[in-house]
Amino acid sequence: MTTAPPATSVVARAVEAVKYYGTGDTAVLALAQVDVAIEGGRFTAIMGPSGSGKSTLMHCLAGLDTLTYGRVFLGDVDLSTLDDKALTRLRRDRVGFVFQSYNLVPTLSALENITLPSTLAGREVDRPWLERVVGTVGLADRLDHRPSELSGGQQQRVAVARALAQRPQIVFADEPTGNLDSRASGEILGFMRSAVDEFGQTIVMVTHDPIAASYADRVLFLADGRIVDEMASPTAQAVLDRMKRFGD
Amino acid sequence: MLKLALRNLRSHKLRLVITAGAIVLGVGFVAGTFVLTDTLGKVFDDLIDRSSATTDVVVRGKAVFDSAGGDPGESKALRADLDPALLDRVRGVDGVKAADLAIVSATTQVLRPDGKPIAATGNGPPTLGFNWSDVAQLNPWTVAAGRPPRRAGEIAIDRATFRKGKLRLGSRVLVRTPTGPVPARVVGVLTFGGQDNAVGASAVAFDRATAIRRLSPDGKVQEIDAIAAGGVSQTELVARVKRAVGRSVDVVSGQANVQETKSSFRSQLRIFNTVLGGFAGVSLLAGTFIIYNTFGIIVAQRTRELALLRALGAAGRQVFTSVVVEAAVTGLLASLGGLVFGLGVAWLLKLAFGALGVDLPSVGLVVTGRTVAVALVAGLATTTLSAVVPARRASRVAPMAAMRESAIEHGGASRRRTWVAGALLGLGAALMISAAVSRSLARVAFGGVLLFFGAIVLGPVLATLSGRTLGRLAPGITGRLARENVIRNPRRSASTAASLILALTVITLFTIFSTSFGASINAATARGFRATFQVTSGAFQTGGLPPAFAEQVRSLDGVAAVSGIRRGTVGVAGGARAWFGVSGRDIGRLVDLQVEAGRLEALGPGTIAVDRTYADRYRWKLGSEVRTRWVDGSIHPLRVVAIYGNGDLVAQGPDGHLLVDQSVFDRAQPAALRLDNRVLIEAAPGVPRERLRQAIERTGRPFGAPKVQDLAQIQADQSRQINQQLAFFVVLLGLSVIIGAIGIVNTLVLSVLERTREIGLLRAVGAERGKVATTVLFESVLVAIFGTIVGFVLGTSIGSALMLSLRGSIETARISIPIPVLVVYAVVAVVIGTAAGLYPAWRAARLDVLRAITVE
Ligand SMILES: Nc1ncnc2c1ncn2[C@@H]1O[C@H](COP(=O)(O)OP(=O)(O)OP(=O)(O)O)[C@@H](O)[C@H]1O
Ligand SMILES: [Mg+2]
Repeated sequence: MTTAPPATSVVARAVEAVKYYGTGDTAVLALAQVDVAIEGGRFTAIMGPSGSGKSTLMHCLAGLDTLTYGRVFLGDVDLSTLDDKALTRLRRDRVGFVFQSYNLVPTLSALENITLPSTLAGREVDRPWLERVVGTVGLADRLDHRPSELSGGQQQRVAVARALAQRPQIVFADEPTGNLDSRASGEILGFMRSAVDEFGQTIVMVTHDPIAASYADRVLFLADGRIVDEMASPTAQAVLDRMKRFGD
Repeated sequence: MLKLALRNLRSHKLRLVITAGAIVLGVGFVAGTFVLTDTLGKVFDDLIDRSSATTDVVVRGKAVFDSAGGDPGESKALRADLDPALLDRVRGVDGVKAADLAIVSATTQVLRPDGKPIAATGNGPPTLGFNWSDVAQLNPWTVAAGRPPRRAGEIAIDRATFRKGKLRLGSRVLVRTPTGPVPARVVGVLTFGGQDNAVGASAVAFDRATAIRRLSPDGKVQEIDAIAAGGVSQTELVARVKRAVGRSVDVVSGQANVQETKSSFRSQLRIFNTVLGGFAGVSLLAGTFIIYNTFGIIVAQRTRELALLRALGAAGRQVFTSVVVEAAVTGLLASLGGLVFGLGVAWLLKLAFGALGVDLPSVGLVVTGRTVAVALVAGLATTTLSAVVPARRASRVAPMAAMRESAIEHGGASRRRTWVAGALLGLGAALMISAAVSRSLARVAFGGVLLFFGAIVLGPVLATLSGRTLGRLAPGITGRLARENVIRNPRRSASTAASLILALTVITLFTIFSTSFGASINAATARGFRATFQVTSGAFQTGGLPPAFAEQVRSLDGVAAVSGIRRGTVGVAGGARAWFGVSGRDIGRLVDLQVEAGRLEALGPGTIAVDRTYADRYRWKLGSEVRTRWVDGSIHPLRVVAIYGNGDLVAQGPDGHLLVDQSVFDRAQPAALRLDNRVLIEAAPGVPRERLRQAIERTGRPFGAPKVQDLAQIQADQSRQINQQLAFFVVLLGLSVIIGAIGIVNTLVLSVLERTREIGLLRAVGAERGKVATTVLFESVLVAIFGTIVGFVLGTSIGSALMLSLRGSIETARISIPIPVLVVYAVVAVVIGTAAGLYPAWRAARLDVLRAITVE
């Protein structure tokens, strides 16, 4: 299983991923032999009970954390071969992030936050693309504002715009709607959906919300560090039913 | 709540260490000052005890002036000398076991073959010549090798000089004395209580007859010391000796004499202590700014925790107490640390003294209860008091704040702040301007303090301003982030820079003042100096070259005018005053004294010249009679023949002095003062200067090869001396700069902690470790530059006002701003800012990305 993955439509891939936190008696097994492939141009949701390892899996796929055993490929790059600097560059150039909260640098304006990865890379911003992204998330008139002057939903839109602005190979979102009401959630999820449909963006989203999951093309269910199930073209009701079974 | 305070301290050891560090340095400086002064005090006490504790009775001339009246700082200790013949009378007193003369002269030194003294001249330790006494109790020196001097042409010298000059027993040397050069053979090597010299003082011992002849131009002596036979008390013997020698001289007990000498040393040490203490105070103040800032940040960061406590029922007062207790414990620990550090400081200074040739090995460092008390109180009080304001803020945290998303610090330019700052700055500036106009030093000082605190209050506004402008110099996104970080919390940035502002203000003030003072003095010299050369004896204020030197120079070919300048003390208008003995005939050609009335050439027997200050104060006019009291107590009326406007070049001191011809001066002063401190020489027209200089130098060789300088050299010398002094002050103030740097480290470490998530985010979206570190470094440098600029502006304004206010005493007062020096300071500030940012930057770069974005 150590051969390079085909560079076809698989954008990210974990192979026999094992993650322990800590060592010795107190070690926690967060990922137990996970094999997963994220297909390009699709919207994947990861669900599971609290503590099941969703965030851990996402962090490892995104090159924010390293596995204890196993390997992660982003495109055809084996992340375990990269040092800190190379990982940082890879994140900057190929990965977009949306977190649950604290997504923006408070001292920079909305626009500066959106272009931050390009600025850090010293890259020219692709203007037409940027305008299109900004237009899509509907922020054109608030670009000069600081995060503290924006509502939670608006801040999250800026975060999504930032994630999309540099055309990453893949966007990771960890509970992006966790702090938002249903209307704001719906807007954010709508943008992500249209980014997949219109720009062919690849998105992986961790969520607890069956409605949020219903925006995805595919849902992976995690429990105790294992992928226990998956569902294509999910509906909120089907996801909810599946989730209920975890309680047993 | 007490437990909470202690737990907070324990869980933030690093913060405790850094915060305490600032106080440790400040307290250490204070403690070190006291330890050093106490140690020096003990050294001199020991020295005095060893020199004279076994003496039972001291016979000396009567004091000419009582301590009241006269000019401050003018010597009140002037005494007439004694006739050595009194010795026989003292010896004849029943109960006197032994007695001997004490002839002591400063500036008696063994010369090297090139004419330079082996033991250094100048403001260092004294260079003594004295008569060898065979009465062991009256002579603190012991012969370590060879034998005591017995006859003319023999000397014994201290072992330090003996070794330094690579001499041997039997070496033939030339000795510089108040009566001129004396050839001699070294027959003995002396030690002082086992030491190679007496706390740095060198010594040349002569036999009694030679000492009288060579050390004392008029054959008189300073003291006769006696020891009592068994069973006779000091008081009893004093009474008996008094009866024998009469009322014309002063007789005191050995004990009283020792006390007198000790207390006069003590009062000089107190001045030294005050000066050092001033600098220590500056560092302590710098430390308080840091405590204030640190606790301010801690309270802001802990707002939610505090609010939670409040919500759970803690009273505001309890919250207040917990913060103050935390500060007090920090202060206590820091004071103890400061005490230890102070010992280190004192020990280093002691070593520095050793390097200067003043060996202080006989005593360890003296730590008195007072030192401990001062250190503890200073550390505890400054820390606790500077935490009061943050603690009050903490006690006012509303329980509601617990619900809010994050700690919000309201900073920046509140209207009230701007008003207060404006009022302080306005008042300060007004005082400075009025001080410059009215020449009032007190107003400069008060105005300076107001300006400084005005700037501190206005700090947040200035920080925002300089963040906006200076920040543009920092390039790229890291520069942009750093700039925003300076501005986002202007109050924090401003109080972080406060200690640096303080240090730089004082340093700049000293620098501007020193350079301006130097420039003014040099301008004054250029204006008034008419001589071709000045010969400087190197002696401090009084004493110096025997009259024979000036006489020999006068007889050289090509010399048109010569005047020595002697400084002494005379009783005028009810007190001791400084006066100067010059050559009345020549002085007017050598120095432009700006004579306003009369002629200096008229100076001679029975006449005097007075400066404008005295003429105004005592309403003296040409022809007025000035009653002068001479060293023997006799009164002599002198007629005013000239009133001069500017005697700075003669007096080298504050205005208010008198000038007489040396023929008058010498009759009125004891022999020790009848020496030329400086000699001014004018070349005849057409005489090649270098040839004349060489001739003067050759003449000076047996007199200790004094420096022969023309105007440019004098000016260079003055500048050098002023720069040396400045360097000394700047080194002392350097500690405050280090404290300022600690303040930056402290704030940034706390800020980095506070911005953990933000840094995590930056790293997640692609900032390398280096970029994160650079952002912190830029912020540090920006704060340092901000502090430096504000310090420059404050220091320059205060220094300039100070200079202008001195126009009264220095006519040529001018402001000179040494740009290159300020540039050096700025570069150093940037280096320090960078250094201060290194550790916080390293911590920021080292943050684990994942940890950073997942912390709650
Ligand atoms: N830094 C860490 N140190 C130790 N254990 C950790 C750490 N991070 C996560 N864990 C543990 O690993 C397991 C998986 O955690 P993870 O955060 O991936 O869960 P999750 O599915 O994202 O949960 P949630 O839905 O609550 O966010 C949990 O048992 C958690 O306690
Ligand atoms: Mg999670």
